Amino acid sequence: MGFFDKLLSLFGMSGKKVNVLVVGLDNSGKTTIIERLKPRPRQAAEVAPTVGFTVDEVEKGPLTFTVFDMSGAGRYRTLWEQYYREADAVVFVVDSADKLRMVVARDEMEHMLKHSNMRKVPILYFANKKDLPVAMPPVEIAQALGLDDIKDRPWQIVPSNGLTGEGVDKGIDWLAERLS
Amino acid sequence: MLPSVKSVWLDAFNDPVAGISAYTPCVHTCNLFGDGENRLVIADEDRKLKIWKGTQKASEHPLLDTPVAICSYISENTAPRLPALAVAAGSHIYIYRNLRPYYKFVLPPENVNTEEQDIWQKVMEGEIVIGEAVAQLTRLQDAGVVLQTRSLQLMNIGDPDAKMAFVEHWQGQPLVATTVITCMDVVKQAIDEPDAVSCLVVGTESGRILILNPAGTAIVKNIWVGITPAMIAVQGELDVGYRITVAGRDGKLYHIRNGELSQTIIQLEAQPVGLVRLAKHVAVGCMNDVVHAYTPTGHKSWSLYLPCHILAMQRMEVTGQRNTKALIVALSNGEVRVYNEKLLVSVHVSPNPVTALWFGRYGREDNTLLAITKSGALDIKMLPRTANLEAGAIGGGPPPEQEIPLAVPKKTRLYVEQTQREREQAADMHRTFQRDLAKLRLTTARAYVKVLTDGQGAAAFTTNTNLSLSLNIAGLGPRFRLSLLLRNDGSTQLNDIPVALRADAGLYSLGKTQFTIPFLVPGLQYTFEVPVTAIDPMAGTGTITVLLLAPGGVSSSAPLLQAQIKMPMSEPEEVE
Ligand SMILES: Nc1nc2c(ncn2[C@@H]2O[C@H](COP(=O)(O)OP(=O)(O)OP(=O)(O)O)[C@@H](O)[C@H]2O)c(=O)[nH]1
Ligand SMILES: [Mg+2]
Repeated sequence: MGFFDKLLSLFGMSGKKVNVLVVGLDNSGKTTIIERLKPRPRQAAEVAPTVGFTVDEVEKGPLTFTVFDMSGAGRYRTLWEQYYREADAVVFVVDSADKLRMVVARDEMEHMLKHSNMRKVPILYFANKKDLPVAMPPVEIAQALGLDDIKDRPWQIVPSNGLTGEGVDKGIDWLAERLS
Repeated sequence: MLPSVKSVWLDAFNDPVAGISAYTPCVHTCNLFGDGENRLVIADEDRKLKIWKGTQKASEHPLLDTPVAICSYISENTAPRLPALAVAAGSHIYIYRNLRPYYKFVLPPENVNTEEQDIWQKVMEGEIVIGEAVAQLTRLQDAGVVLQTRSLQLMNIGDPDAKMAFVEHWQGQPLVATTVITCMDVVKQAIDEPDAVSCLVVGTESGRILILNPAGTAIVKNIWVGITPAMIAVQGELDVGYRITVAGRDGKLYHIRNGELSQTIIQLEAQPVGLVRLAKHVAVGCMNDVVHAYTPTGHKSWSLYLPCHILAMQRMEVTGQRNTKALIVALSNGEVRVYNEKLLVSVHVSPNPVTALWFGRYGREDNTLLAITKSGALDIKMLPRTANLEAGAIGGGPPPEQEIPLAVPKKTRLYVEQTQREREQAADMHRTFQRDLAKLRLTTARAYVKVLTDGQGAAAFTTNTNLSLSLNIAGLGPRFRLSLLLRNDGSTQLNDIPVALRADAGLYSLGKTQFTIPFLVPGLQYTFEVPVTAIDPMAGTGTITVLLLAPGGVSSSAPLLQAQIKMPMSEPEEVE
């Protein structure tokens, strides 16, 4: 338990519910990362491409995350905007090895940021699949996505590996800090 | 110009030194290894199969011949659906699975002219010498027989020893006609789904369209078109109903419906350079920078007039909520345009002209445009999910000018009076107009008659040079004398006027058929005489035409003057 968690539980703020919207292109590793947030016995061994979306609840210290795992497939991306209004935070997962579709990820992200229902909530970027040899470093990804232009809300980019869970906690800790 | 239409594309990747040289039929993407990530397959002109994954070239494989076209298709109903990759080169189709050579299909030989076969048989058995064989082959060719490559090669060898060696090389191998593939596509067998079993359709140099079985081992349909197909476009399913549009080398469009060549043949204004099937139409791009869209029944629906040459055309079948089938055209000025039906929806300019286009799923992105430029660069663009390609998106609907009312002038008194007059005297005005029109027609007809009859009689004159010519015939025959009476009624002399005489050479022999008049002084009468002999007095009569041509140095080639005389019946020759 981190310092903040202790502090929060001291003040009796545990159990606060927050809605986290997890978006990103298909095959970027959204479902895999969410699995890593669950306690080990509940983790699924294999993940299949998400159809539509799934909702999960995970505990993170004093916070209870209601996680909306959206499908990234082209035909389901129109669903994302249905949940912008309720989202208290956004997790945007990028496949670091998919250099080709970085421009598509940027296009989708820009549409999301422009959307009128989207509040000025914190955004966490996972530069996922960092283990792959062709993975782009987070700095390059931030540049390709034009993250430096985001001035109106807190954001952070964290390299991660959805298979081992490396980097996932670090990112979620940052998010929890923004939300409590 | 059109309202500035922007590009709808997202720039994903560009490799200016990809070193690719391929045209549209040799660029393809498919789920090559069945892992859901589509690879780019290029059958390069340098006889290599180049595989790209994402932004990098993954591998290269040598090809035995220069490729013509590549396709991928599902050949079996088993799961997992692994597409077969077909590469057409020469007279073979090489079929790969998992990028490993799997099967080779060879085009069946065509019928050879039996005489040509005989000649080869004889020369190989030594019955005739090579010189004789070449002479016989030449005679066959002159008679209009299309000879085989082997015969043509033999005829082209100059050195007798080399000729001998050439015949020796083919010793014992009977002459067969091989043909080559010119184009290839696929047709779904029974159902129109992305993963449904399909068959290859190929066009051959010998003027046939062949449809193979899904395995690619046998021909299930052999359709004789009679002209070499340059491009084909396939619609429908083999078992349900299909249509093949063929752009022939003769600049015509042929249609095949369920295996039958239809009578509807469309003559294009210029040679076709691209053929693309759209939702309801087949679009054909021609060398005169026009794209025409025809319905399956052969009616022209619309045309696009482009500012410069068409270099490549591709179908753009958008997967997503809207199922748009648009047309992508690459032009010689570097522009790449997207048309949804007739409506221009996107334009972007490539720094180097694009020579090959592909649209489809690449990597994990469905709507990807791959372009290869003249300089060998690879450019990858993607269609954003929110792109609007619908009619009316950009530049559609009525132009804004339509909303602005026209500045109609006020009705003046003059205008009112004029209208009044027209209303009251309409009948008179009509009659006057009709009379004038009839007069104009009469004048025209008279002038026309004059043009037709001028120079058809024995006397003629021209108005522009003031020459008059009359012809006379003296004598009873078979020897006559033709005299030309010529006068220059103008005020200036004429020099060096060529005169030509024409008569039926079978009837008359003329003393001279042409001569030059050195000088024509105004006002004097000149007489020139030409002896004429009727060759066969019994053979009837004809006419002699005399033409006065423009003097040397004048650029006009039209004769100044023409006169004709009808010859009298000739007496028979007196025998002494
Ligand atoms: N090498 C590697 N593979 C990963 C990593 N994270 C996820 N994957 C794999 O990527 C594939 C896609 O993961 P998913 O979690 O289904 O992706 P998703 O974003 O949920 O995809 P959709 O539900 O279709 O939007 C799976 O095969 C994962 O095993 C990673 O960090 N490294
Ligand atoms: Mg998922």
